[in-house]
Amino acid sequence: MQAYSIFSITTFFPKKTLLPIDQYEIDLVKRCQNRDLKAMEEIVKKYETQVYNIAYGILGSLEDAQDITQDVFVSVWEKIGQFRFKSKFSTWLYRIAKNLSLNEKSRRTRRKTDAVEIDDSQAWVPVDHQSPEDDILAFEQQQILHRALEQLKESHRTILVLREMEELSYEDLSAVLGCSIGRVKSRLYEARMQLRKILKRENQ
Amino acid sequence: MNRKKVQRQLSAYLDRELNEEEKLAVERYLSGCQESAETFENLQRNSQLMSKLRQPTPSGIWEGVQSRIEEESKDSWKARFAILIREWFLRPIPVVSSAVLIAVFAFSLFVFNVDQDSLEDPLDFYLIAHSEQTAVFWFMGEDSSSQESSVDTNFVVSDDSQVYLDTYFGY
Repeated sequence: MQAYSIFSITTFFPKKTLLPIDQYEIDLVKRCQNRDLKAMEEIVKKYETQVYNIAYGILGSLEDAQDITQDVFVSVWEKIGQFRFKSKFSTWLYRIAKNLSLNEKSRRTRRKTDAVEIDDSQAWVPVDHQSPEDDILAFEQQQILHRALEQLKESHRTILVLREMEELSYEDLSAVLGCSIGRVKSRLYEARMQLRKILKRENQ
Repeated sequence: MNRKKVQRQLSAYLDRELNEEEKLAVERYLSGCQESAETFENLQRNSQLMSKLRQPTPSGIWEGVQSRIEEESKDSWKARFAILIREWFLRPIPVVSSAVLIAVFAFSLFVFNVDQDSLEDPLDFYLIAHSEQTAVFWFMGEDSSSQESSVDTNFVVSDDSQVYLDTYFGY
């Protein structure tokens, strides 16, 4: 009996495991593929914060992040026909957000308009409700953090933004960045240690 | 477990990505090594700081996306039309010759007026007028066979024409 179970059909044809994507999202994407603007609106409303923060983390500018967020969703609308449900829709979307943000970043660097200092006039919004003194302190910390992020390698900055700001799992990070989970672990370690080193220097 | 190995696992420990055995080994090491414990606290603080970078989304993202989608769909029609025009101009000879033929045809149909009295033989008028009318029916998409010709056939043809009709049409 045991021999039969060892050589059962599933030994040769293992069952495909279904991706943990909810059916409603699949329907939304399919409706978008059929050029349904209402479905696209739902997708934008669902993911705009994540996409906006990925762009903000990589570019360090709220204004540019807003433009890139719109570019990302316009690009999604144009390319959604190419999405074949082989990965999570969210990781596909984050990959577009990451790529467009990095393209914009390198375009700005090439044009030498990439100011390392963060624009102080930007309307930075404190997320937690704190006292004005705490807000100022938090704002200063954010400025230092942005400066430190600017000094990081592109791959380190990207992985930190996706992990710390978007809280992506290692599996999702591996899908978005197109590398193994082992590589995700080691890159994240290197990025964190590098950031620690820069922040230590900045705070001295 | 040596210090270097623990240091490399601190990041995964922070993300709760270690298995139970690895987790216990790291915790045991941290309780005995002040420097590694400080490094971990540092990583934890930076992680919290970064999570606070998250910003609320500004309003009007969807409205901006929607207007750009609509604009680009209009542009795509314009672009398609421009490509069509450009392709036409890449083949000027067939395009120009077709246009000239159509112009000549239209000119002969609607402008050229056949005057019955100006022709010596009524058969000439009949042939010209009849072919003109057939062409007009065809051009208007009407079936010429079902249409009654308005060309007057009550005329007397010359002897030469009669010979021609006898020879070619058997009249």
